Amino acid sequence: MKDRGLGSNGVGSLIFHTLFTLFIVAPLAVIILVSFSDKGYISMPFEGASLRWYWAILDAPELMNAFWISIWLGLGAATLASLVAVPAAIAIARYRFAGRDGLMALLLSPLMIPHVVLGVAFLRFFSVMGWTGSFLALMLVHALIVVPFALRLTLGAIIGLNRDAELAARSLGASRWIAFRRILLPLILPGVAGGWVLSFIQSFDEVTMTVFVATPGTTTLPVALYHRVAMLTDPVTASVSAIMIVGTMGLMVILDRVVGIDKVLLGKK
Amino acid sequence: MSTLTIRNLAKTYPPNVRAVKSIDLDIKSGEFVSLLGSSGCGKTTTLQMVAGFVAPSAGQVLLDGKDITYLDPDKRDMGVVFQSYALFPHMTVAQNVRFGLEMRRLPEAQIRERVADALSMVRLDGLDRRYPAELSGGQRQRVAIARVLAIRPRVLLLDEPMSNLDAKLRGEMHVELRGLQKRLGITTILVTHDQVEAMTMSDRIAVMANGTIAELGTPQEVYDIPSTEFAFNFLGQSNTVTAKVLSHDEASTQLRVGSSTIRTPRRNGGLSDDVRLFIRPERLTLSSPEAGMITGRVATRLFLGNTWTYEIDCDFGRLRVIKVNTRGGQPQEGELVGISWNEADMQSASGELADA
Amino acid sequence: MRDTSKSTRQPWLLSSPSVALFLGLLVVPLALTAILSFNVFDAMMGTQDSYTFGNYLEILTDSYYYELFLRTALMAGGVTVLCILLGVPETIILSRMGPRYQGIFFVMILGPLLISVVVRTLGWSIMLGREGLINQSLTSLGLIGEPLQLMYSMTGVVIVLTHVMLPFMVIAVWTTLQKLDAQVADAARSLGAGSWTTFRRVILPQLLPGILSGSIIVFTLSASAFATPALIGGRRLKVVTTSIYDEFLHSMNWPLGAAIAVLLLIAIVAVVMGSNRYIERKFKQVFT
Repeated sequence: MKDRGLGSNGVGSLIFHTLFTLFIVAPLAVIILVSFSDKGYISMPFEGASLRWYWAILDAPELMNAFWISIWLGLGAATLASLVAVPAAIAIARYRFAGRDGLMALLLSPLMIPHVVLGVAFLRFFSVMGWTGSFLALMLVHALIVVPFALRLTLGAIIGLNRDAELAARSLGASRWIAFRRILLPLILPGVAGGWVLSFIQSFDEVTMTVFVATPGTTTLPVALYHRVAMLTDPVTASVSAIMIVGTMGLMVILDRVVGIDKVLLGKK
Repeated sequence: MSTLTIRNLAKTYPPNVRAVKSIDLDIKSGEFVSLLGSSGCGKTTTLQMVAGFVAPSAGQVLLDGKDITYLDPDKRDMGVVFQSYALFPHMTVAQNVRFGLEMRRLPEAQIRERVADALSMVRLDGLDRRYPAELSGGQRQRVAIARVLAIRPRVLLLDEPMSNLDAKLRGEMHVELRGLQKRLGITTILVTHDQVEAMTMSDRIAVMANGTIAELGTPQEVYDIPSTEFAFNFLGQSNTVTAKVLSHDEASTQLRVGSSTIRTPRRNGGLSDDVRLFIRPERLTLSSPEAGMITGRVATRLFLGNTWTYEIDCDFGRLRVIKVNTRGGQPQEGELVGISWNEADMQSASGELADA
Repeated sequence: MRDTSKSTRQPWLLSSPSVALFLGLLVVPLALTAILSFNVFDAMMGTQDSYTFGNYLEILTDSYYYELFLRTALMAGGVTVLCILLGVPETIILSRMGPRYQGIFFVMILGPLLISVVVRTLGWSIMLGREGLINQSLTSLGLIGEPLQLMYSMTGVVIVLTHVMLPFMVIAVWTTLQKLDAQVADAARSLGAGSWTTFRRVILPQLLPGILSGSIIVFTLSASAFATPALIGGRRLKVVTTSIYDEFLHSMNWPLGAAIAVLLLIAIVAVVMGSNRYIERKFKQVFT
């Protein structure tokens, strides 16, 4: 089919579209520009560009630590979320049982509950349990709030799959477990992997809930950045942000290869 | 090989959907039986219960006399060919075919041999490294068949396997699959809604309706002498004629239809009862008005290539007649024609005169 | 799958890890928070073991909290209206493009969803300052004499939240747009409707469910947004979420903070459930 290009949009529409896109992209572009400034304050790099604010990150140990905490947190939370979401997705997609809708609502509820409320709840919970400052506890609650993302992509993969292949494997002599490992899992792997990457991104980016429970030892990168920006907006915040933007774009490319970015962003099944 | 016995098999889905009411069927070793019916008649559910995919609500499935009603599907040694073929898309043709053999933990040499045998049986040699997505519909179906033949199943279960093929290929597969089945002597159940498929392939046909078997017999029996009105109308086409019994004698029964009197072979039934008679359109013959048993006027005619279908208005109501497209003149619309038949072809359900 | 007892056990077995995680780490903490909201708080001694309705009474009788909730609702409402005005036309424009441009612009418009909200907000705070990009360009264009006060203002918060929430509106409208039968518009045109009439009488009514569900998402997420109002609005412009944060981490009045949080949760759930029910009732006959 012939590519319709910009399609049947009139001049007015295209002007609107340009302004709209500019509105969306501008703040991100500004950050990247500012990060290359050679001045000691927020400014455009047109009168002198440098990488000094990228080197400056290395001299900000609290940001470096926070970066690694966020990485490990994201890896752990995404993995745990996928481990519990895959069997739950199979149950929801493949069985009709009383409580199925309730289960679905429960597992998607972190999307509806304001993260501030979750932050308050976990802060209270951790202090009651004596888990304050525990990395493991933070990882568990991060896993909980990213389960909806892992679940949705995994569900999408299973629902789109014809069940006959598993039945065929079963009647050819495969046990339930073998049919899962050799037939179902390989077929839904792109969905599971996409769910994992999306969960990682969501955990890595989470700030509202984490800002309540983070302690000096468990401060994540967005939380550290939040606290720094709340005090002053210096070029280091811009260079850290620029790295986060580029890193996210890299993960988006991976997501696009694995499941197709449209499935992730538009929630297509 | 194996015999399969189905006793009082039933499946009720909650809240109260009786998908299969009660099925009794004895399948002899090496026999090919078709479950024929329209969608929703319970034929697929029956097959799934035999395969072990669906747990029956009541009844038994016996394989060589052993109760397998609640046995897991992986312990049944049955080969299932699905309508969707259900090939494993992430495995090559060879990997698909060897899957069942790996599950049986056969030695590698034997697996290779059986895979090669199975692929050559379905004439797919040389395609073993292809992935299912790289095959045509017909080839995919052959892989699905090879995959189950490789495990040498005790029973072959075919679930509408030909419905995704085009008409010509389907005809070829009927012959080929039936040939393979006979040669290997595998006890087989075919689920289908296609009458031609059931007729050409089966030793016996079970016509299903409303979760039960309505008619069971060889293809010729179920077509020529069905015992139910349902089968008359479901298999092929039938004209229904309402008649009144006038009298009986030794060999025959006299009946009145409209203003005509006709005879059929002797049947039971009280005098002046209203009964329904059935006659197949191809058993009616057309002639000149004088030569016919009754006369009628052609209302419409349809040309189908090898045959003509006539709708004729007469004393009996409207009759459908199928006539082979022979050389020579065919009656025109509006023409007066004679209609004749063999008295024995004017049948009623189960040889009885059913009440109208 | 084999017999009935097994078929009811199997799904619960499969979902038990997730259910355990959610019961232990979601239901229990929320219950603890609900209990906390009834605890007595003493300025000298902190949270007490005794219970009271005092926290709720304080919120319900103090006009400060009415203003707080009202301000939050107005902010979320403003963001929702802007998202409709900008997001709906943009989605329609996108739908008319060829697949290649569509793909590029989708990633540009929806991609920011995956970038940390703190980062996006930082970008805006650079642009919104008194010396920032927006004031500089407006001044140099001669449109304004005095720089606008955008930081620490409602206008600024609404602008930035609109930027954060727009992708959700685009997604919701796009999903509905995909289900439309393109021939329906052609039919309207061939029956004599102009392009504007076709849009207003044929397209828009069919988009309404998507716009509504997008609005619910945007409204609730805006009302529960924290980082953006905290960084752009600052201490001068408090909303519900930032005041909860202050109660917990500055005033250390946990019970009162918990009570505000419980009320926020109830309000959000009520908005979601209420509007979902409304949508279902209104559109059930048309979209089944």
